[in-house]
Amino acid sequence: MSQELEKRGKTAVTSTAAEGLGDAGPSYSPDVDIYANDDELVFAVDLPGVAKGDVNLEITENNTLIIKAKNSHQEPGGAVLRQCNIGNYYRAFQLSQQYDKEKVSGTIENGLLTVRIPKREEAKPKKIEIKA
Amino acid sequence: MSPLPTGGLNARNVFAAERVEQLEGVFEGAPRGSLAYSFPLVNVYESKDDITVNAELPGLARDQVAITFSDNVLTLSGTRKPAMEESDRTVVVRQERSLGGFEKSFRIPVRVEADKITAAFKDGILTVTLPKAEEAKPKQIQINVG
Repeated sequence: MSQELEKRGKTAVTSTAAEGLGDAGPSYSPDVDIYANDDELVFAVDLPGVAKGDVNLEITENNTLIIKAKNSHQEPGGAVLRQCNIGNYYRAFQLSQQYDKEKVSGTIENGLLTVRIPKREEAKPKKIEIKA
Repeated sequence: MSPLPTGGLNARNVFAAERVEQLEGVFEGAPRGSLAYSFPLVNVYESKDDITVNAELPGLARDQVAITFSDNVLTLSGTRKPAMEESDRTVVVRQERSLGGFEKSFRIPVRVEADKITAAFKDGILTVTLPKAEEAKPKQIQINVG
């Protein structure tokens, strides 16, 4: 990744500390990939065990994207070998002002949440025609 | 390859004891970051009748995961593709998810009925249920008084 692109990425979004779900038990920080282009930010969030309708997306006044999800996977008993903890998920990211928090959309399929946040029209790059 | 463990050990001990070089096994006590903790992460459960393996495979559809069982070794394999392709237009800002081809094998330390293994996939979690063979199930032994 070039310096310029990396810088663009870093200024677009930064991860903030997880705060947990309060009294809903421990929550876990899911793995996230983020893609950026001139139109939007796209988040791919691993949420195994989360059904459709069990994700809560919120963007706060100060442009923090908060992802909360309820894990409804039922374990068949006590594990004899455990690599993953089963619990709810929480993750938050600080977004730059150039994204339109009114137009966030999310879909979840096979435990993968995809969140799209478009850039505000005025923040999109404009192509300027050069007149002869 | 180490010999199959014989009876007398509970599953926790058996999984811990099964440190087999050739297999990318999953063992109690394997350090995080080792091959045993490569994608996908699994939990293993044991009941009187079954061994159940749960694997976290978010983003994959049921037809994108291959499951094989041979010589008491269960293997999960497939390819996890990126959610978006990198291009001149699109850059990767953050990459935490494990992507690409994967293959993970586990030795199942008890005899199971291979033709009765079932698998289900829900919300990115694969559940493989391996019914124990009759001789692997716990037996109640009556003590005759007298």
